[in-house]
Amino acid sequence: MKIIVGMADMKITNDLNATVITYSLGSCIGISIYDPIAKVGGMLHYMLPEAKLDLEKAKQRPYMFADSGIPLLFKKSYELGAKKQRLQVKVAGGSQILDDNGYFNIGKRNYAALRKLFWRNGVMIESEDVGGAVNRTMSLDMRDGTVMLKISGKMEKMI
Amino acid sequence: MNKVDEIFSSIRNLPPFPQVAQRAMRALDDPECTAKDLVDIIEYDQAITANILRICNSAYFGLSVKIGSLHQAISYIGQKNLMTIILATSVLRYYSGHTRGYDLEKGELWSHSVACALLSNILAKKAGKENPQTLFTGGLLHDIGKLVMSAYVEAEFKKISELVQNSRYSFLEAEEEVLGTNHAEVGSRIVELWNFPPEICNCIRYHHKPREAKPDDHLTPIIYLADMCCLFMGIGVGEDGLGYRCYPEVLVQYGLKQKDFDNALKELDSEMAKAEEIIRMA
Repeated sequence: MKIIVGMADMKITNDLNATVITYSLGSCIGISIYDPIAKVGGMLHYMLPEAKLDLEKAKQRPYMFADSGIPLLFKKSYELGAKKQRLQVKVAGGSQILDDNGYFNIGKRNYAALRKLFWRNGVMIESEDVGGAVNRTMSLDMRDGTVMLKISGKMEKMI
Repeated sequence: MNKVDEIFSSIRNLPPFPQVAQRAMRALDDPECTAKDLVDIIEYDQAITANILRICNSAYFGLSVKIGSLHQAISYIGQKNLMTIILATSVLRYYSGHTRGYDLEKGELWSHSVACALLSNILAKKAGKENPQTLFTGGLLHDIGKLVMSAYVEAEFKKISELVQNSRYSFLEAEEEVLGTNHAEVGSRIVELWNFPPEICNCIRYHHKPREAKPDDHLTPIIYLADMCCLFMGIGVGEDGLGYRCYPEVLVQYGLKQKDFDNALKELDSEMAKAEEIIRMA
């Protein structure tokens, strides 16, 4: 079964038959988490770095922003029995257009917001594939926590 | 025939632009045209009529009554909105397939085009340059050239991809280098053939090259920005990914700040939710 994570969306599951997938990350960031013991996993697809842009919106759509979405991703996984120290955290997305020196740099800002939060909370990233000018689709196989990336359509790789 | 001529002449293989839409557009420009005249023209095409009613009744307009006829549609949403819908339903038929050369599945180029049309209005408001009708048209049609280019890009994909990955070409430059033209140029020729006004043709031609737009052309830079935003958000983004050039002076030109940009993306999220039914039509 496919569990699709939309833009500004998050899904957590303990269904071993599921594949959690998020399409077309662009400058957005996808975070996949997986606890191999509790067999709990999930994914977040956020668009923008900070909820302070619109706190009202962040209340309705917390998964739109890194700082309102990431804590919820972890919290919901704990509710299903995941433990922080066991979580395999994988990150993808944060692309840029060519020669972008800071005007449109949503991808970089999205990634920086994540690093800041992870550093503060002692979360380690197991593997990542970020930046560049490519488009990524990320999927998490709930049976064993394998995370696959489809990069700009054709190339597939495991992270 | 060389490659470029072959591409340009294959434009004529596209189905012709619906006559109903062309006649309706001309009628709307005529100050003496009545609602009844307009209804008479549109009713001629049942597929378009059905789609117009569907869009009028979708969440996008949020009307409290159910619209059952074109007459009622005009009185509730107005002639200008109606024109936008006629255009959307007319171009919809072109976007119903996949665009394999760009690795876009069925419906993806349509959702990208609708998102770009919606975003161009959001950005134009922030930049103090509103012209919803033309912007919407430009947004819906900016990538129409990909329909024709798809087969050629697919055939030469290795070469194009090589240039993008190893020689720092943008996807547009690689199209030009390998095929002699690009999807923006081809798109502008398509709408020229369909008799769209020059400002629409120009904004399609230069939507990746805003520096080449004329100083009084406010359509091209806004469509450029809206297209970029859709790429950032991964909406209908294919094999070309985000492989296009950045022209930050466009933001500066309109006094737009990073925050305006972020806010536009945030607003797009709600607009896309409202337009979901329209997006699912392709």
